[in-house]
Formats: sequence, structure tokens, C-alpha cells
Amino acid sequence: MEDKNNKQTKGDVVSNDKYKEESWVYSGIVKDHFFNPRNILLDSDALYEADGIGVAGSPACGDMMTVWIKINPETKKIKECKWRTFGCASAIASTSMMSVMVTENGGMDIKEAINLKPQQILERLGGLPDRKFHCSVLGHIALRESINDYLKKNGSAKK
Amino acid sequence: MDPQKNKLFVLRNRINEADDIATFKFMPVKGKNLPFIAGQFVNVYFLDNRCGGQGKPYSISSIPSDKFLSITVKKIGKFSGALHDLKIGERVKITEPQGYFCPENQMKNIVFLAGGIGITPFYSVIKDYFSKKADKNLFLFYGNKTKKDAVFLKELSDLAKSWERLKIINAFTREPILPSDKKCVTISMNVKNEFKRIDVKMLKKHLKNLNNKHYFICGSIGFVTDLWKELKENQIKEDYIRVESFY
Repeated sequence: MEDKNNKQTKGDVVSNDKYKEESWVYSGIVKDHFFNPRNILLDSDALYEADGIGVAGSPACGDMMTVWIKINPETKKIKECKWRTFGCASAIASTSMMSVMVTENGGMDIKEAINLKPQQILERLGGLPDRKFHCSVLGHIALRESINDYLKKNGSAKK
Repeated sequence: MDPQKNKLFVLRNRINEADDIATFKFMPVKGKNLPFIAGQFVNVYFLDNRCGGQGKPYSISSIPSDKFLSITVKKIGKFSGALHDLKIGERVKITEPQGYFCPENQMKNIVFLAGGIGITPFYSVIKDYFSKKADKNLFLFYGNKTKKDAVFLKELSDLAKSWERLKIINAFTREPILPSDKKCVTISMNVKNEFKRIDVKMLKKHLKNLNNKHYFICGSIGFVTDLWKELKENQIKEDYIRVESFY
């Protein structure tokens, strides 16, 4: 007798993908940050007075990320980190986690934030498949650019 | 990145470094070379619609004082394949150098951990320091399958022979001709060959002490993540580790 649970219906994706047997299960943390992303800039960015703006990726490639930051001028710590993306689930989840990491516990020092690694973000997310690694770097590249933008505006850019 | 600072370059020379790796030397079509800090990368674009008009980042393998700008490319994808087919005299667009994978002035003891083609930014940094006879102590751990796969092996060994501040540990994982006991072999005073993958145990053996050093890791995602984890497990603080992965 045919197992109803295994019956294929119209619209099911059937593929001979070589990765089919490999685990594609995202961690609960990744799913949480994808379904409930933190710190997304929902308002018009023209209304958001950021101290630094960074853009990474390109629309031609399919992935685009913008990060806006506000810095405490006295402590040089990140007060707010907002972002918006045209990216995949992994890019959304990892940038959401990144925005939490740089603003939690009173904010991350900009020197520390510029050296934030994708590996640190992935560790907090409970991992991502290797082939999704490139999605996780978008947010932190845009963050670096936003810090650099802040430093340029304040006369101490590294580049 | 400021698109206004993109420049036209012409391919002047090509050096085959290994079976699937070549160095491409570009000269600016007009004016001077782009200023950069050793360790930075550039995005390269073809002028026609090859690869859909998209660019790709490559670490610079030349040094800031060179009149040319070179990148060393492993043929692993569509874009790098098209670069390998580039003819001498062809033009490309190269963007303003960028990136933070550069040692800072106050760093005195620097450990470079390179996996395969991950050597390219370090090659630029080491040559740059050598040209300035910088007051640094440099340690390079360079992982490859075999000697044949290792680009700049001779050039780096020659640098280490003439500069006591540079020490090199080559780590070969699939070298067909092994010493019978697979033990570390001394090539010269500053160059040694190991026959296993790079890990913290190897670092401890050659560095004696992991502390008071800055670590720069460059290579595949797996290579970088494994070594980053191991260093953290050995109480090396995040501030002392910089990473760059190829993906």
C-alpha cells in the first residue's frame, strides 16, 4: 500500500541534488532570527539620523546589505545598529544576530566591532552550512563600512 | 568603496606559479598605481560582459612600492577561469584597494597562518616588511598538500635566509616524498618543513609560547574556523586574532 505521507503532489520539489542527503537543518536560533529579525530599519532611512552608513554586496549579485549605526561619542561604543537587506534567510539571521551582538551589554567598542568575525556570529547562531558562509559576511562587511564611514566623518579613518 | 576611484589597468605580464595558479601583473593605463596597504584586496571587473559584468575580490600580492599591481589567482571558478584566459595587453577595471587584514604598527610579534592560496596577502605583507627591514618578528605557518602546490615557496625561503626576523614552517599534508620518520626537517636556519596539518600543537612547538603575538589566519572557511577555534580554546583573545576566508 502506498504511504500517503510519501506521496508526491503537484508543486513538490524533486531533485537529484548531490547535497540532498546532507543536513540543511538550520538551528533554532537561526530560524528565530529569520522569522523575528532584530533591529531592522522599518522606517524611511531618510528619517534615521545615523552616525555611519555602510553598504555591502551588489544588487547585480542578488545580495545587498545596508547598515546604519549610532555611536556614543564619549565611549566610542555602538548605541544602535539598524540594517536592511535584499538577502537570503542566512543573511537576515546573521545580520540580525550581529546587530544584537554589537549593541548588547552597553554596546560594543568600535575597535572591537571592526574586528568582529563571521565565525563569532555563526558561533552565536549555532552554525550555518559552509556554503551559506558567504551570506553571513555581508552584514559584518557593511558594519565595517559603516564604522569606517563614521571614522571618516570624524576625521580618523583607517583607510 | 568609491566607484570614482576605479581605474583602468592593462595586463603586462603573467607568471605561472603552479598548475592552476598564476600571478597577473597589471599596470595602470594612465597615471600612478593605486596606493594601498599590504594585506588589502581589490575588486577586478572585465570591461565586457564576461561573468555578467560582476567583479571579484582578490588579495594584492605585490607591495605598495612596486610600480605594478599584481594578484595571484587560483583557477577555481568561472571568474578566475576567465582571468586565467586573459591575454597580455587586455584591460580590466580595478577598484580602490580595501580591507582591514593588515597588521598595525604596534604589532611586533606576528604569526601568519596560511592555507594554500591564502598566502597571497601575507606574501605582500612579508615582502613589504622585508623591504623596510621592519622591526617585527614574523612567523609564517604555510599549509599545502605538496611542495608543488605551494606558491612563492622559494621566494619566501630566500627572504627567510636573508632576514633573521622571518621564520617559516611549511606544513605539507600529502607530500609524496616524506622523510622516513615524518618528522620536522630543517631546511635552513629559519625554514622548517613539517608533514602534517597546521594545528595549535604545531604552533606551540615552534613558537614556544602562544602569548604576546597577533595571529592572522587566511585560507578556506574550514582552515580559518578550525584554527580560530583552537586559538580561542587556548585563551588567545579575539583582539589578537584577525581572519579572512576564501569562499
